[in-house]
Amino acid sequence: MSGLEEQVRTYIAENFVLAADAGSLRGDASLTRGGIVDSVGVVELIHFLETHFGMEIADEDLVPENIDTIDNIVRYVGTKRTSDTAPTVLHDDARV
Amino acid sequence: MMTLASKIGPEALRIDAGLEVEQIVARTEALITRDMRKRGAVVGLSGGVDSSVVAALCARALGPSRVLGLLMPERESATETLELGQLAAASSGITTVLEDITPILNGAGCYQRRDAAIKSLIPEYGPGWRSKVALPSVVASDQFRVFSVVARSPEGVEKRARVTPTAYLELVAATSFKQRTRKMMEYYHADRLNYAVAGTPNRLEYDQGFFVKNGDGAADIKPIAHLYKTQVYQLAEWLGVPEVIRTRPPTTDTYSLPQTQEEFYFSLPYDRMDLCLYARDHGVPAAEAGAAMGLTAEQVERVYRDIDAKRRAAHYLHLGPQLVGAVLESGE
Repeated sequence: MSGLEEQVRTYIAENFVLAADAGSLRGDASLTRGGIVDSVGVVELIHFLETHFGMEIADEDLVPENIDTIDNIVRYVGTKRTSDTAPTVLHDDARV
Repeated sequence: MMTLASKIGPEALRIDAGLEVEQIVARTEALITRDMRKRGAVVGLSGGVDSSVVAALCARALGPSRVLGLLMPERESATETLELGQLAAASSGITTVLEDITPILNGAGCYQRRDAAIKSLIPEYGPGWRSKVALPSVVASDQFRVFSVVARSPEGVEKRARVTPTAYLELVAATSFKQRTRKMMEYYHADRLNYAVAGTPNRLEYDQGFFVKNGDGAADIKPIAHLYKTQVYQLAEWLGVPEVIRTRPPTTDTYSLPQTQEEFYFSLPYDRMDLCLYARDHGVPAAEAGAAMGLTAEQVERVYRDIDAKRRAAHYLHLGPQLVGAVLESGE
């Protein structure tokens, strides 16, 4: 289990009562359809991801493919962090 | 009674309005006067079709002189709310009492707490600004339905910000003072008159949890909670509820900016939402329901999921106080 996945699982275990056994929660299980995260929980989860991982999630990214399963969250956050922190490539004519 | 239609469509929700009125009236009279041993009913009148129909039903069940209509505007109510409420009362022949709840809401800090929550999201928000909360469309995309606050300055500049958990919960808690204050006034008048309180939710609202617990969700009787909104309109027409009320678009009348119920809660306008709820409850495949409503199967699937999610959330709203040990109830 990656450190990122562990942090997400720990957050879910500590904040959503039904997911107290989050360690055994399948990575591909829907958090919303499974009744683990409700509408308020979605707001909390988004806030956690933004503040804990220092990222900004655009409205159009708030789709199940990004945040409805632990696997999707880990993949989305991993990709987002990589793209947000990637060094800017300067064109030759922009170099000082 | 509603008949099951083989094909989904508006006819599936067609009822015999006269027969339905007769049944509701008989049951309402029995529940209030015999079971509850109360002498009449209090109905909060919003100027909308639901409360107008409940007032008309109670007037038939108990006699107009035993029904009190309460008009409870506050400073952010739509301007037509009071006038339409009075019109509904007049058409049912019931008397009304006007209770402006603004001072109570001020005293409770409703506006101040609500404004502080909005200001935490939109720092420019201040005196003279108006606001509402809005959800993304279920039909337009698969995006999670996370509220945004929309605020408009006196100059017309509009700002939008997605809620944080703290701001969202504070906003809901503060605005719920409105529904809970109205219910408090309803019970005050019910107590002084030895009346019961008639609630006004329709089936969509009751089923999907579109109410404030111990606010508009509280009542002694809910005469139209089993009827789809479409069916409430059928009763309204049969009962002679004024046309201006029957043709008014449903509104929440809770926030200072105009807001539709789809923006705030439901996935679709009420007529299609009724059909989706009906289809969901009768096992109609999404593709078949979509074909009848001009939606794709995928869109209907999203609405079905939204219905299921709201039902899960409504479970808590419907729960009364839970006892953890056995107590012999009166009458058992």
